[in-house]
Amino acid sequence: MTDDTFDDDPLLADLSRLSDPGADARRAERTRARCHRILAHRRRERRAWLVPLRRWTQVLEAAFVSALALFFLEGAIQRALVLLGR
Amino acid sequence: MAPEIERHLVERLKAGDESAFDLVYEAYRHRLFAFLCRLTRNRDAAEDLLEETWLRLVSRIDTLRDETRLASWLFAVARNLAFSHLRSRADDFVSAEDLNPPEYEVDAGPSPFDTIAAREMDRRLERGLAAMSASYREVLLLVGVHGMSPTEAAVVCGVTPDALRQRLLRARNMLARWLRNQDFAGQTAETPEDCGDRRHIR
Repeated sequence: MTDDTFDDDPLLADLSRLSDPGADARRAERTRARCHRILAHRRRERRAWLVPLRRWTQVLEAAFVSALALFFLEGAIQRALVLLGR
Repeated sequence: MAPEIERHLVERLKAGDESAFDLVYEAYRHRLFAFLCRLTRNRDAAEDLLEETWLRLVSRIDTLRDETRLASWLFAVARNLAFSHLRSRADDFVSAEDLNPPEYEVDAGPSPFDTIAAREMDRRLERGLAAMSASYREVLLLVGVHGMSPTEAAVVCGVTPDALRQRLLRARNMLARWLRNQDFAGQTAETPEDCGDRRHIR
């Protein structure tokens, strides 16, 4: 037996034509609003966690660029001193 | 819904995007309500369980894996909630009439006779479904009413595809025999299971 066994079943086809009972529209809106509130809370929590992370990323980025700059500057000074014969 | 679209929606939901939630909500809320309504045979309980299903989605969205299909996940949560509800109820029988089936929507095409015949068929199917045990009813609902493949329905029910297909075949034959018996006065069985081999599942 495979999934195709039931493809042309007339009884299952009759079942697929049953109309759906309608849900209470006001209750559906209340549920949607409740879920929106939970999602908004999740977003705020996510942002609250992201702000310090972003700040630290900026600090680390600046430190890394400064270290690179110092490294190249030191190299340039050494090369200049060699060229001047000291 | 295509898997790539679902994956994108889940990512947006994880980020707390309400518009992504609205898309999922509109895509599945009617189907989930119809499923719960027929599975529990109780509109009020179906409303409560539907709300709980959506609340679980938004509160447990982080547990969804990339390969998880939203429809299977939502139907599985709804199904498990419905079974917990059914287990907690002592009086697990409500007649199909209590479901207040909606008015049958009629195209301009069919004749009044066709309309009445279709409505009568719907009523008999609803009664047959309502009279079945929940384990048989759920497979007919998932595959027959909601168009899932037996393999997808197996994921929802937490059984192997083979077991699901066997259960589906048994449920389908019971319902067919029950409908046939309804056509002959005096041979009416109480439930579709009276027309078939009653086996206990779960």
